[in-house]
Amino acid sequence: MLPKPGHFGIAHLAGYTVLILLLAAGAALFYFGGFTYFLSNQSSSLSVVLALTQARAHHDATVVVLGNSTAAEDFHPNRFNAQSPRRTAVNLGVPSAHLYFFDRILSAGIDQGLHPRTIVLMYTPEFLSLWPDFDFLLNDLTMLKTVLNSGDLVRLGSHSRNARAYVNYASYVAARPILFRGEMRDLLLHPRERLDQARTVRTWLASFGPGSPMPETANTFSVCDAGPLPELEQTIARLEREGRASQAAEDQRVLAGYAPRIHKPLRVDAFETLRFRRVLERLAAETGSVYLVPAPFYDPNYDQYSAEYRRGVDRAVRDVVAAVPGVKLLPPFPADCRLFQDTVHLNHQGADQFTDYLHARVL
Amino acid sequence: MSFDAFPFWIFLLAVWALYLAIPSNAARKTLLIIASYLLYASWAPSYLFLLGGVTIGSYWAGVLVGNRQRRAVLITAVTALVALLAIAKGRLNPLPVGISFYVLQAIAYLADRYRGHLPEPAGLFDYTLHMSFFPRLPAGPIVRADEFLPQLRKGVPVTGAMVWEALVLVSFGLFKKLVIADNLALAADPVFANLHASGSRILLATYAFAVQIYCDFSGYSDIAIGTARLFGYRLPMNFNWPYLARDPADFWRRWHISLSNWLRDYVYFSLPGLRAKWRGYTYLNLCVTMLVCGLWHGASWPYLAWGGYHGALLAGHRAVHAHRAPKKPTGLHAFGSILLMQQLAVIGWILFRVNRLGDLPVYARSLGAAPFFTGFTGAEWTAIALLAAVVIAHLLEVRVPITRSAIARPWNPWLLVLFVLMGMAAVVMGVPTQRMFLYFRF
Repeated sequence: MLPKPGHFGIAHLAGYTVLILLLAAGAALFYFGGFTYFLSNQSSSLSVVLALTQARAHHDATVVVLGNSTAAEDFHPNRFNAQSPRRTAVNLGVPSAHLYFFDRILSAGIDQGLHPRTIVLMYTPEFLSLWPDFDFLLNDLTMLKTVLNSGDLVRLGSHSRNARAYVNYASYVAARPILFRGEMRDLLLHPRERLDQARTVRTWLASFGPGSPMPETANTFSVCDAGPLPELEQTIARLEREGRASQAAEDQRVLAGYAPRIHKPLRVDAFETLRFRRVLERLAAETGSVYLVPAPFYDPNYDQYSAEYRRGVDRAVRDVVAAVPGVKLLPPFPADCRLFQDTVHLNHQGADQFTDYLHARVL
Repeated sequence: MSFDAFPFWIFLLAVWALYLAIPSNAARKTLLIIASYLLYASWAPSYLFLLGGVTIGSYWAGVLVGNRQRRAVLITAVTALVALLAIAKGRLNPLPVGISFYVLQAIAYLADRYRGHLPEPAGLFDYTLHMSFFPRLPAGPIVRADEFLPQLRKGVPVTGAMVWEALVLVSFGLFKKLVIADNLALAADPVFANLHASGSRILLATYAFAVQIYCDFSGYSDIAIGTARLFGYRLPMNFNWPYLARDPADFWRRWHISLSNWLRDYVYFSLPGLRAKWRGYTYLNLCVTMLVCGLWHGASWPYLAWGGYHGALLAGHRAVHAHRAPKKPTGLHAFGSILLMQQLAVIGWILFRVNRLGDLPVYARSLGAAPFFTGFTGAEWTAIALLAAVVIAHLLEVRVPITRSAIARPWNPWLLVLFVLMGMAAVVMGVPTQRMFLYFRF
């Protein structure tokens, strides 16, 4: 079946043709953004593509909001822009984004035509600690996989704790198909479903233009109604017994955000703080005006972020802000349980108030 | 830095590039020693002294044993090495990487010196590399000094054919580990963790484990042998399609060959009664040898039972053929022999895999309980597909020796296409949570 060794014939020629085609297809898909065509709503990179679509559609925005899901949910760009049509904002907050993500998505946004003059970075207490059992940097790379390029090999240097860590992360950037593992596996297991969803996603993304409103969340649930947080599981069980399914589902959502955060051994880490500072330096170098704002959270029992850890974060953030010119630290947004939909995200009313709060301070 | 993780391959490429750039054999060996110790430090820095200590201690013991056959030195040194291994296995957690392998290699060196197989002692420099050569440091293959030291002395130029051989072996090895073994583990591990499962799941988990351990360890061995080949060195084959064995003796000529050879040369041949007329000695020695094999895997009853079971199989096979010379089976008879030996090996793996022997009744009860079939999970269906693929590969191997054929066709574009597709399969089917090679724990 295989051509004989040492003999170059038509079988070899065909083989090399297939090999070159295969490598070219791989390069186009994984290194030149081709896989974006197949992204469905199950993909971890969809939020990045959506953010960049917003950046392209609203490239005249001069205020860019960055952060993780807190920014994505707590900031209402349409409300902000309605108040100041001449200085508009675009929200590039992406759920589960972490330190590597922020200046990287900003530079990708600039490639889409953005010219930011002001940056608002919403930070959460997690930023300065290592998080047990979860690799945020690898998660950032996985989400950003469709926009990564050789420049990331350089950028990763300032985010790597040591040479070994650098080699590890840089390997993912170099051997990028690995980062598409989830999507490829999912596509192979559910080809028809995912291709249909990918078509819908492409149509949806194409519908965004300069005048179209930006996506905003509209959850009106108040975490006050969830009852005492440490008793959530019992409350959910009671609600299910009583047949109050919709209330139980809301409580379940609150629990899903609360449970992974409680009693985590968070500690301000010197290297994570240094990474945070480097990110701020890059953002400040880009625009000269960076507002750092603590993302509001609801933690009445101090079981998500201990008092000691909060003090440590406050101290470290103040030190970093003092050391980086062009960065201003905004005071915490005052919010009680009525404004939260869960322990870390504001509800619709809360997000409106928070947006107004930012508008008053940033512009 | 595991062999299936990125940093190892970056490290390997860097060392290889330097190796090729250095013309002198001595400098190349120095580079390999430094690289080996650096890699070992990345696994277990606190146990570097153990590797260094065993190397220096066995080297000097080897010099003392010399050609004058100082039995006392040999016995003292071997006893110390066995004691060290026993203490490490019993007390140290985690077990120092590779200690089970480099200690056996040191014992082999001392025995060979004593027996006169190595009339000239190795230089400390070459011996250090022999003991620490990184491609085989974590889990073998166990290499005899007379196989490896001459290659070190001579120095071997790296050729394109060697690089191709390395590419073939590494590609097959990674595929076996990342695609087959890791996915089969997803079907086997949960069931062996809780044996209260349906009979169909128990049966599937058992066969899945039998193939998992084979693909895991032979995959590692392929990578180790291929990696060594990149530097021009040839390591002995460690697996030769053991599930195509026709009897227990054949199985052990194909399974973990370097350990089987070591046990034969340094345990079995050292036991009393080798030349005795009474056959009972032979059977007893086979059992003792295989019990040592079980103990080497760990001081626990399941491993001991597994070793004893294989000892009994070997002794039984020898007893059956004591009166009539074994004929090589052909056709259906051969197929039946292979199938029977596979089932015997799988029974052995049950003993090997259970957490304790007390789990065996639970295993048997679950296997026989009704309903037998309660459906499979997605991971189990994947395992069934992979087991079918492994069966097809075995059927193919009977007709065409797969690895040898691939090695014999250097830079064949269709094979390169196959390797690219295997790489993509590893990406798509790889299990995100990295699993250590099974034999790294022994």
